[in-house]
Amino acid sequence: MSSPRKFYAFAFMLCCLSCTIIEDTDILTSDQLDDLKLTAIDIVQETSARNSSSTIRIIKDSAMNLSTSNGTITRYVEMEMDGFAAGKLKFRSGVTGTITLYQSYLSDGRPHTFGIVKNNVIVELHRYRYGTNNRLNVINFFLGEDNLVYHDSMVYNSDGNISSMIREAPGDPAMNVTITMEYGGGNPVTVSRVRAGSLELQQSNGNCPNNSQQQNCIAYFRSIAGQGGNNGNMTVVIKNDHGISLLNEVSIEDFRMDNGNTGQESDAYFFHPLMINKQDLALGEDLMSIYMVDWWDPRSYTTGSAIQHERVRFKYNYGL
Amino acid sequence: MNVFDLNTIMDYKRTAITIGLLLCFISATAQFRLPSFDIAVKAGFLSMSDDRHTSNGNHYNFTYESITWQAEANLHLGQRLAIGWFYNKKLYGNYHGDSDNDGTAASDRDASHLMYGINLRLSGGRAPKFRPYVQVKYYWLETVVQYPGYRVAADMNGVAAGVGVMLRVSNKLYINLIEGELSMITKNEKVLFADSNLFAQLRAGLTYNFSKRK
Repeated sequence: MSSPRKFYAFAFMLCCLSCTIIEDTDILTSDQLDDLKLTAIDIVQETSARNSSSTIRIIKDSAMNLSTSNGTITRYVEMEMDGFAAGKLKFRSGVTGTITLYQSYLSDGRPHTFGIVKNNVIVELHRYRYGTNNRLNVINFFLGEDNLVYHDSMVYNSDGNISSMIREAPGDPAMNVTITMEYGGGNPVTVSRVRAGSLELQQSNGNCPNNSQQQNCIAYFRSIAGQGGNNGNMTVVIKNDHGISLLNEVSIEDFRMDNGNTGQESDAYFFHPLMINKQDLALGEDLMSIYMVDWWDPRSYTTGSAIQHERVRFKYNYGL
Repeated sequence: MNVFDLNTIMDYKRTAITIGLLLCFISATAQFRLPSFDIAVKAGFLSMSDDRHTSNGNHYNFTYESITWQAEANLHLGQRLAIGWFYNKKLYGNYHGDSDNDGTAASDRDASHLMYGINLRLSGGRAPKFRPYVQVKYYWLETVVQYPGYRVAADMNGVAAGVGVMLRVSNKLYINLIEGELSMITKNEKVLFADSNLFAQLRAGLTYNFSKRK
């Protein structure tokens, strides 16, 4: 073959290779990105005993137009899951088996109500109520449809952060408490301390990568009495994995270690809607930290040999 | 016809036009001189920064890093000038996310790219051993990042300029000792690399010369 023909052959071969790697379903524009919808949430529990996974499947995501005293509900999302296979994560109501979860939204995307239903009966209910400035004012938590457990009223500081939360517990006035928050730890500021009566949760990011707080990792400890009257620091680490403006994964890690000592008891976590909808709320990350007082269920502290850390991962799946 | 079909057709159309122009140019020049060309195979490193401000006010610095391979075919238009076509793809690609506070990894995603285009090379001379060269390119670049359940892509083009040096091993074989290149993005679909204008590559490889001249 002559040289020009060889060159034509090589050039033609390279040109033929220059086809596209972009597929029709790839996201190229912001509009297409906005069209992505949550399709499922995989919940993976990694414990020292075993790993297990459950899936929250979105079975309905529909528009609606329902006027309420708290605004117009324009979106209704219905989800289904088969309960949790392992005991690291559990429901406050103790419900097991196949359940339905639903979430309604106001016209600007703010959550209105989150419910958990078993056999057509509401077992847990969270109601979000907003003020005239669209700021979250109240979160009500019900066990069952009518049994109001907590009525939480938000108080904001001049920076627009939640400085305290006044908790009323109609069924158990002994649980009435004002939960206070402090902020700090970088830019943007995060909740550095939560106090609820004698309970104190303190940010301590030694268990985050590079031993520092950042937007994708935040860690807290609480002191808890253990065997022999020793106090230990129980730690939880919350990590976020962000994609292109979408949240891809939230993991809650149980670091079973304190200053080189290892706590043998593993914590449990109560499922809280913030674990799957915090990105829909203006101060969702702060609320996730504040509501540790509810969803973090630490066990008694004992020292012992090294034990595997445990975690619960919420993996968000999106599709067109 | 949706926008995807239109984009695909436009991709084929522009590739076909480029191939046609290149072949016409090669055919015309071939009438006046002895044809001479080289082919090259190179490996290198590509790094593209992608600063991102998310809708919730956070700022992340993402970086696409890739170990690349590249094939080239260049037609010699004289002793110093050559024009050709190149094709560049990933051997390994990673879209890595940092937060803006301390640079700790937020995420790592599988990612890939495809880059191809026209290359114009000007050699520094016919020195017996080391031959420096400069080159300019017009390129098309596609990048794809894999997320759970979906992929985000960017379709870009632009111009690049670089310098390199070849070591002459024999009459036909050269080693591209080092080749540095800076690329400017002139058009982007604005999801990935929306605020990025420049990226860099480093390469090394082998060039085989099919020249009839000695």
